[in-house]
Amino acid sequence: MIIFLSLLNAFLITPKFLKVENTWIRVTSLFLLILFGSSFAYFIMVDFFQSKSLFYSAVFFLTSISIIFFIKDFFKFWVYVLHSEINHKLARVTLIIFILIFLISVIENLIYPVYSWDAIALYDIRGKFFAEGWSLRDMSYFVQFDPKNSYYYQLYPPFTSILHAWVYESGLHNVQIIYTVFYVLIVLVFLNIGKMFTKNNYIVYFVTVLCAFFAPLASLAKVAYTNIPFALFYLLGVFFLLRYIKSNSTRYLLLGGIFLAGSSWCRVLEPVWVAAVISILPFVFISRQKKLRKFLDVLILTIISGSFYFFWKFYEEYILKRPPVINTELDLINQVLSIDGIIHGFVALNFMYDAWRSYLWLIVVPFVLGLLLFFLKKLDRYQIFVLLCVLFNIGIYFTGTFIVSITTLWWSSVGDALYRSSLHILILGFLSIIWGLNYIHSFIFEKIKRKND
Amino acid sequence: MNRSFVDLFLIKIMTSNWYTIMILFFLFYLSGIVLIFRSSSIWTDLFTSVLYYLQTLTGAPWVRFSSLLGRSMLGIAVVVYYTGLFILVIYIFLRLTKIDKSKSFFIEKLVFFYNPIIFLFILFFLQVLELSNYPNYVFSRLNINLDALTTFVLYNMILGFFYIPVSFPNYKGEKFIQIFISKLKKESISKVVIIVTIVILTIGTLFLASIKSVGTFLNEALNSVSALAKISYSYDRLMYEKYGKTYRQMVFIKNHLKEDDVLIHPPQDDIWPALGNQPFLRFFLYPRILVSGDVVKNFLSINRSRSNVYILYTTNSEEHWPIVDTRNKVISFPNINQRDGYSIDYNNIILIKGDENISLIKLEL
Repeated sequence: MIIFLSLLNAFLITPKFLKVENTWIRVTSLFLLILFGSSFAYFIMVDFFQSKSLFYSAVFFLTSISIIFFIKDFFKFWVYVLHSEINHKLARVTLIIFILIFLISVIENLIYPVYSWDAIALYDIRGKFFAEGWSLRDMSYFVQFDPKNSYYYQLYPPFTSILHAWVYESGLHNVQIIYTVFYVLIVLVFLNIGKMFTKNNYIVYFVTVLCAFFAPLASLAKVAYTNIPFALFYLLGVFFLLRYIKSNSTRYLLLGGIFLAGSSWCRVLEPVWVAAVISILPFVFISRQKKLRKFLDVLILTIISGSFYFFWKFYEEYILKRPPVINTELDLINQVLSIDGIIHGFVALNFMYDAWRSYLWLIVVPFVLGLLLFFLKKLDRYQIFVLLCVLFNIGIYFTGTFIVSITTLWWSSVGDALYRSSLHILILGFLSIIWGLNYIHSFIFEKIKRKND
Repeated sequence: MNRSFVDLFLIKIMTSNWYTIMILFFLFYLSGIVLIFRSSSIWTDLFTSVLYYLQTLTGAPWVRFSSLLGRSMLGIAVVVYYTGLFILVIYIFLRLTKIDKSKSFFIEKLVFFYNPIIFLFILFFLQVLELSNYPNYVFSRLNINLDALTTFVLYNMILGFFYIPVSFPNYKGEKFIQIFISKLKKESISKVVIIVTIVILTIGTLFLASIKSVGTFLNEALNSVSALAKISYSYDRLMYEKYGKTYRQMVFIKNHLKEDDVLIHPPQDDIWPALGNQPFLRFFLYPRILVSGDVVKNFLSINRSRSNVYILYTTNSEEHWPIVDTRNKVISFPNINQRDGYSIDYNNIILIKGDENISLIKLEL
């Protein structure tokens, strides 16, 4: 019900707020923002005030406000939608493809219950607990006779579990349908990121369809894991940061920061928001803003995008009183610098290679292509940002694997999870096909233009 | 000029008429059909009847070759199948570059568009037929190998996918390539090397991504069709499909324990990956209280007066847990290292025997 209301709200208030981009990206952003905000509000209400009714009153209040907005802008909205997006021939084709993707995904997700191991053991059952009125803090009650899994239910932020809870609270059981929505949205976001790199719509739509049926993405859309919402938030963050590079407007930086923070609200173990923040820094500094403004921009971006990561760390340490996953009392620096540490480094590299082996081409090709375009002086700022972002992401994954391999014994069992959690890197890798095709297209097209002249 | 065999072969394809594609496709298609009807006995029977007819005409003993031919049919088909596929790929490449212009558009459309669509629907139909009956139904009744059919449809779809650009009426492949080559000639050698590398890298990646994505699309579409065939399945049946024996074990425990009962289960390790994993058990058994075998001592020390306590008695081929000594009335709960296990004395136990290697022990202390 709440998810439906969020989508409705996103549609209703889209002409009024967020006057950026096209209708679809607005609806996507608003939908995610509303889900993000309301799930957090729900979490706070349940965990700190033990009351759901306050939350529901707020939701219905906000919905009524957005209906008023909608009535006011009703005609403006439809005129905008009809004239901007669907009227384009290629966009219509895409709409058909999107419906096809939606249908293929929705049939399975409607018929199957939540079944994958982690989903039933953690995400879905937390949703059921929430629906029964348990707070996250109180879920430690369940693990009192399970020494291997103390804090198991509090390991990840509860974003998707809260969405599950809303579905259960409204009396429905087809929870997996949420992941179909996320799947379609992530394809939509990829389409819009792709549009930043080429003016040729055929290339973008073609590669988007390829990306939609990219095996890890399509298979993850059928399981109730956090990976797709995480990648969706992250990619939307990257999209707005790319917009910032284009316009140097702080508004985009803020939006980018909010969505990067949203990614931490889905999964907190990988602080990959840092990679995006570091990658955007050079572009903030070369912008034509005043020094103070640049400094403030960086500060705001870091604070906003890191806010949820630090909030969760604070919540874990002071409210749940959970010991950190990685034992920080060990003398980490000495261990890293020892021969054993260096060997572990190679082991971690080999491990990452094994985990990514099937999709290594999606990581290598962007860099090789980037290098070649650099030699031709055709590498633009957006491409540099994406490459930096992928590079720092890999750096963070390597550091994480390396430290976990030194400090824990169970580290080698995360292999499958590594490629799943790095879905956003693989999707960004798909952009390289757009870059290559765009270069070839522009190489030929320029010639035709010159010939005509 | 001295041309190699491959050159001559390619030129032959390029300059030939539309029936080249028909012959190529016919080879691919026929060998595909042979592989789909993957049973040498059908082919032996077929050859027997053909050779018998030949024998009556010529008088020579042809029939004795029928078994040999029938058996070698699949081997021959595999070779012809992949050769045909390879040449069709080259054909599409040549059409993409529009070097060859003498083709009939209708025939190509028939081969590359309608053919995969028709076969896709046949595949969907057979898939539903299989799922609505029993596993291997299609093969046992119709002699059709569904895996071979799926691969065949996949290859057809990939061929069709790469044919899409050619089918656009305003596609100017040859013009682009001419311009591309003339532009390349004006560039320095180092630039040419870089540009050609970019082209090869992009086309290669595109090719790889396309093949993988078409494969995933087919897979996902088949999965959706399979799911549709299961629309009337109950929750239990769907979960049983996913978890098999483990789901039956869960249902057995759930049926025998009341909601406020306690269940002591084996410690979490590799021997009992599911039955030892408390979060996994809890999904099926909530709100029953679950106690890991590692902390039985703690649990009993604070919960002596609780309601019914059950122990999940598990056996597999090598291990069983816990160890029950009925003579001395002692149950010991060894942990993984078999070191600091814990034992309790009991007054009476009631054994509820289940299938699938588990039983429940109701404990009376």
